[in-house]
Amino acid sequence: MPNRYCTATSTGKGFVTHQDRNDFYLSGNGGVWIIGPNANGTDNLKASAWLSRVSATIKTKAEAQAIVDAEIAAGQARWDAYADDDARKQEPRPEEITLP
Amino acid sequence: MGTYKGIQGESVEVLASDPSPTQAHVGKLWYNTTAGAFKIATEGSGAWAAGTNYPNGSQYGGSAGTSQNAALAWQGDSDLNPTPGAMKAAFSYDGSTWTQTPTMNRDGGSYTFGAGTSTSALAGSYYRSSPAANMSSSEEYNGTAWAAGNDLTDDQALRNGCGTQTAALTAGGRTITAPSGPITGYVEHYDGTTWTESTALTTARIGIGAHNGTQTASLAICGATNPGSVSVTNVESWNGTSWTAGTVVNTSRYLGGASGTSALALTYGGKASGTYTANTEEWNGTGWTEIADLTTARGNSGSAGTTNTDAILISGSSAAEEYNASVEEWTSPVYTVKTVTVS
Repeated sequence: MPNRYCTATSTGKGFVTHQDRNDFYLSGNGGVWIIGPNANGTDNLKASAWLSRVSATIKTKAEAQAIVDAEIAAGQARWDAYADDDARKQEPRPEEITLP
Repeated sequence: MGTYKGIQGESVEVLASDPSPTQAHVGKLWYNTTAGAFKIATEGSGAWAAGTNYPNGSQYGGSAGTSQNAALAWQGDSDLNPTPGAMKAAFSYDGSTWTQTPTMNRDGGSYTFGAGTSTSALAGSYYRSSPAANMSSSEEYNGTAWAAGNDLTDDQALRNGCGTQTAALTAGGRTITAPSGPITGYVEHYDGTTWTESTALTTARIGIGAHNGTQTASLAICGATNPGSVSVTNVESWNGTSWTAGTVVNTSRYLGGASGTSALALTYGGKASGTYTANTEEWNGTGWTEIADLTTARGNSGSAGTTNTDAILISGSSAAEEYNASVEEWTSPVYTVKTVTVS
């Protein structure tokens, strides 16, 4: 079982609990969430329960990557548009990331 | 063969609902009449969980506080007004609700630092966008209102901060308004009235992990040595008189969160060049160990916490979100109720 991908809106407290984090792999970026399988490669049932609890919309890896790519491209465009004397221009330009 | 009562000194408790598990419940067995099942409490690894979202996404803001239930954060630039240094709002957090404080006196402020508690805080220096300038002012929050403090000696931004409102320490920084402005190892301490220059860091840096320790015993964790920005793994330890090179962390970062003391510390998140890390490392007085990951890799956040078992990371920016309003809360260990399966 490979990673699973979804979108879900973080509602704050209770959206992800400490127990969730100890029960399964979860990583988020730009509203896209990555859920890992069990160590033996099987689907994690607690992760499945979380997906239901947060009303997640399942995405393919390609769909999830496209969402993140679009967000990063938007960030790059903002960075490119900053004036040279804008303090944020002294920070590195946002880099693409590849979802695991 | 021993009995439960013989081992625990009491019979199996019968409860209608599970208790909120604590250290005292670990190893205890009870029968939940509602669930019709035996339950037990266990102790698990520390973990990050979602807190109440910050009222609006903010990066390069400041923060103070003692725990995930008593924190204070003030705006950098935000999704409400993305102009750097345009905001002067602050919010206190009690573990469930963000409450806006009276407006700060500053005329905006990004790349700022904080020290103290949620009801006795110090906000120091900042970058103002219009007209662009590094401001060396400080101000103090008493739980009710913000009042002007005295100016720092140098007009640096991107400093770190630790200690209390009346015994604070700040280190590093640079002049943001001049792209070629040097990164410094400047250190200043505050007694509640006057800022005084102190022994400089050995390695000049910006964006050092803040909130580790006191004015006389703290750590300067990581940071960047180049506006580009080249993050480092350096850690320096401060004893009130001098800085000593300490054990390096495993993952370099700058503008990451940090909490704890000089003896028991955490560092989490931050930036390394154009990427962000979720990495969380713990210092036990001897070495740094990677122990967990944030749910979202990010930097430019606020952070607070005076121990390595209870911390909060506030807003910031991630690879795909320039203004991420989410909050993460660190608890270690995590106590959990589990159902005992009997076959």
